[in-house]
Amino acid sequence: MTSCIVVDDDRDIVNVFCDMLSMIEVNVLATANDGDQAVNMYKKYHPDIVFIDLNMPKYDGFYAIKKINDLDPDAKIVVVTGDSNANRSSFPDSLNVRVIRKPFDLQVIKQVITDCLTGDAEPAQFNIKYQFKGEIRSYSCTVTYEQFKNLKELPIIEKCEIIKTTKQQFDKYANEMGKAINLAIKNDTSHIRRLSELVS
Amino acid sequence: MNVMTGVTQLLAKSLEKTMLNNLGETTIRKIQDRLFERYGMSITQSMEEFEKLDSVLREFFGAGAEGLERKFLDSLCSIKSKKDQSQTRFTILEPSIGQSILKAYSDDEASKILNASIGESWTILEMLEKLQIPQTSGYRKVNSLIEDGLLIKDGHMISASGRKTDKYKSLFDNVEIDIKNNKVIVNVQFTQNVIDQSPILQTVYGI
Repeated sequence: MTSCIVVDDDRDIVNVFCDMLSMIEVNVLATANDGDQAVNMYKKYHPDIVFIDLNMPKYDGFYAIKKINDLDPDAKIVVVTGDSNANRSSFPDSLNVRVIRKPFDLQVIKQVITDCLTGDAEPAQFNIKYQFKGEIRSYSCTVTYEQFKNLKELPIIEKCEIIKTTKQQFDKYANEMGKAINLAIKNDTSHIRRLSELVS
Repeated sequence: MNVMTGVTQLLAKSLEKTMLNNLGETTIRKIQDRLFERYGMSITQSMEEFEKLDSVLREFFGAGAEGLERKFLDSLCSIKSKKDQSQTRFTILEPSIGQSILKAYSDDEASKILNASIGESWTILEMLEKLQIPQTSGYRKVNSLIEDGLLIKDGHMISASGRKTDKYKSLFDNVEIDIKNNKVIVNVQFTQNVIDQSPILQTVYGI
């Protein structure tokens, strides 16, 4: 049985979402109401998936995503948001999280969970920009998230940030879109609708 | 031992120190562990086979390893311009390396030995005879130059008695020592053979 934690500052949303998850037999191990609690819950339970809202007071979703990714680069994180522009936001994309937009659709939730658990094992690549201490010049290159994290932590590095996702990751979406079109021809449009939202 | 040892010997100690200072102890330990796991070697040993250290650094930092390696080596000896790149002329920036070169060239006999062995390899005895340097002090100076990596092994000769004797030549094709604003600047050109067989220079500068 798939396990998860659900993080949202709105307790009503947490309750509704947990009900929907139990309908599709997902075990909710714990709930949290801010990013800091989410990190603690992740440390305690190591769930298969983290469902998390982005906009929360004090410690928001961005804080928790970064901390959880630092703890476990393979963590499966699904951003649950009411922001209609969330798919276009470079931040969720850059950290390889999946996005579910409110209001919830049970089929979408099921699909995202499946994608999370059967997703491509190949690590996502990121274009990064970094700068050495005492230098004005910046360098850029393509690395995995783990490598980005290693580089960022070095004493010699002044600044290191993700610029955007790479062509390979876009190509991955394009490949999925090809498969989705084939499914749409057979009257299954759920994949193509989902991908249309993801590809920006 | 081959010609690679010369340039490695010249740079390795300072390069390892620079890596430790810039990567921090925790990361260095992880790199050390991974090097040992994959190749059974220490960081010091990996200087001789730099491509192995490079592959471990790439595991940790991806393409960012290129920038790091360049940064480390640039702090020891850097190529200042495109002209210098085409002439493979390096400016020595690491004081301890610069000092060992200066020390050698400020000694009359050591300087003669280095100049005579540019582009041509000799046995130690041949060098000393040709330059009329007494054997006692001559052997000491040659050994010191070999230890500093300034003289490198380059083949051998077989004597009439069948005894194999190593031949040596200078690590450099050219050395320029300049003083600008009270600062001593040492520019060197490595021999093409040294560059061709140096994984450090080839990996980092692609020359």
